[in-house]
Amino acid sequence: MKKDLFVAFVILFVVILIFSGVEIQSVDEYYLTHLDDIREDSETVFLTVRCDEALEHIGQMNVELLASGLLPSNGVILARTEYVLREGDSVYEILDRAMRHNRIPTEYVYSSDGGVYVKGMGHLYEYDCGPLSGWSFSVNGEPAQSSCNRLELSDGDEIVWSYTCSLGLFSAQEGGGGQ
Amino acid sequence: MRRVLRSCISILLVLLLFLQTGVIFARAESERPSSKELQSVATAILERKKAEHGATPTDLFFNASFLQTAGSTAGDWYPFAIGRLALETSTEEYLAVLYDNIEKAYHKDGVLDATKATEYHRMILAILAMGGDPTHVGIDRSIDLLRDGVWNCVDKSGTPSLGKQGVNGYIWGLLAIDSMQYEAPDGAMYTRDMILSEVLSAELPRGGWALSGSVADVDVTAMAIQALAPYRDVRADVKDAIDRALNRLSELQDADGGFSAWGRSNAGSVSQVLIALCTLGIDPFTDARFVKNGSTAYDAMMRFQLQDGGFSDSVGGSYNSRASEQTLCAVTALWRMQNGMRCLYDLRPDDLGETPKVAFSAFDAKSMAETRALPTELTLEHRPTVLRLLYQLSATPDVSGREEAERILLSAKAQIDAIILELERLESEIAAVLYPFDALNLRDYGEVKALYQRYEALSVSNRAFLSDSAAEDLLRAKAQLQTELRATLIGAGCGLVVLCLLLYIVFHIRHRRRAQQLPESDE
Repeated sequence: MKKDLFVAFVILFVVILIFSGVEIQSVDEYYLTHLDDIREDSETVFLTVRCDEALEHIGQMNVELLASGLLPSNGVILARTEYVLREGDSVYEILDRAMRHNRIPTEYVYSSDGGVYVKGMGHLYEYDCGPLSGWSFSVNGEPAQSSCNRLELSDGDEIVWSYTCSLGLFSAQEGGGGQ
Repeated sequence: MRRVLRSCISILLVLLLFLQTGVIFARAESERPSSKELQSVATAILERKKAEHGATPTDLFFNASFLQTAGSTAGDWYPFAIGRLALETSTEEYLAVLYDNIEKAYHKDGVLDATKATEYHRMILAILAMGGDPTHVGIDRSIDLLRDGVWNCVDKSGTPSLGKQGVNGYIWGLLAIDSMQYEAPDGAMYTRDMILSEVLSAELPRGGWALSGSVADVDVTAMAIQALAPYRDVRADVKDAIDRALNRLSELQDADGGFSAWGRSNAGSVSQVLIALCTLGIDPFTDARFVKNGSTAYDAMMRFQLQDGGFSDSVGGSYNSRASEQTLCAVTALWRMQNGMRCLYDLRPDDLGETPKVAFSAFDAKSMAETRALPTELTLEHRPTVLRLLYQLSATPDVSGREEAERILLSAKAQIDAIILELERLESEIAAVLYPFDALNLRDYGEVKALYQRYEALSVSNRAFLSDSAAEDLLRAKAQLQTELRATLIGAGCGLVVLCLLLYIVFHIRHRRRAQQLPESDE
């Protein structure tokens, strides 16, 4: 009788083990589903998306947008978040991934020279706050010198996208604006 | 003697090498380029652009990759220049795809572009240069880009929005309406005079124009001159503004003949000035205001030319498509001036010696054969052909076998439109269902599996039109849920086994007890 009980407990133990910890996956599946997990040795970057300047220029803002109440009152479209840097990732890939995963509507324009230009994010579009307004980005505080898809990143980079109301004709996001 | 021969041969070899690597002309500075030379510079830019889209010299200029840019700044200036250079290159498929893209944008949003009026203006100019009619766009010819992009240009809330981008919108609006001297329809929100005065009132105190601030910007000033030029003989205030702008530009010209924006000499700015000078009929090679230290704006522009025929944006920089398209327009403007043709943005057809470009050639026996040869299972690769044939057919009133061709082509278009719609839906449904990944659970499995099956149902070539991130994330979500499902099934199976074993043990114990009790009762 004791023997039976012992066997039963052993079986139960094994079953609980299988239940709790073991995922049965192929290598490909494992790779796919764990691609963006942050581990100790993974390279990561930080992304922030803010629209404070638009809120400061509310007087210039597109009336319809203002009335819609779609803009966050604290200026935060995406709070500072850490993302895994995959090989070959540029600012564009990180932004695209973050915006998709957070379901923030984003519209890109593919410009003449193969660059990607961000036209609108989180309902806020270029020209919504006057003729010099639009999205621009910086990496480690350095304003963008080229299109976001041309700027490769390295471990620990700090990307900040912000809405500006005073950008120049071809500045901010190289390849955007103009005709 | 042998030595001389040898050096002759080596010089010849060097020359050949140069020719092969694409140095097109070795010309002395400030020498006026011939019409032929200008055409060669333009052709070299076009060849370079062709290479950018992976086409070999013998391929069609507008290959599948190029046609995907129809309706964007990356594409439209090339067919525009091809038309204005009167080149033989066929623009039919580009125009057909552009028309269709415009129709689809209208169908989806009711407008072409909610924020940028200049999108309309660029397409108006490109369509005209290809021989098309921007006031009757689409298969049913119902879209009028002049009406929606200039005369009654409003944003989503109905507010007049031609000036939303600043003075840029008015400048290009003026270029668009003057391209064919279009007249404002009754009840137009903007009239020609209104747009003209908007441009004039934006003039800076010291002359010239800028998007912001009080310092004249070369690009915007040059574009404003291009737009104001047609009015200089009828309005004194316009002539004065142009003169002030010219003086300003002359002051802003660099010592090497070039022009700078944001403190950097670049190909785009100098190109815009050359177009402005050509529009006014000012000779950039002789007008003293625009020759600095013996160097003309053209000399400066040519310093951005690369070995392969393309242009860089800064001195010593690499190939830049935007710089190339602007120099292409400048070279075209110079070529037209050299040949006594109407200026770059004046697209009226009664030009000396220029046969107007025909938008779509007649639907002939060859077109019929092409129509009949279309496979029953179409992919997006057939889209340009189908659209071209359809527009050719609608441009040809008398065709024998019209009904058959129309039936084939309309059903082909319907099939392709269905693929485009499915791709768009798949893209937006993937975005709506999958994220965040952490929140996905087995309840979503059916939906994700259905999306995956729809993805699988696409042909391989159509699948390529779905964005990489959507496809990757779909596979990822499917793998994640399959793992979860598998774990659940295994868990359930194990639970069942455990239950059976427990039952077995319980029975076994009872059985043994009974077996122990039985002999006792026997006693």
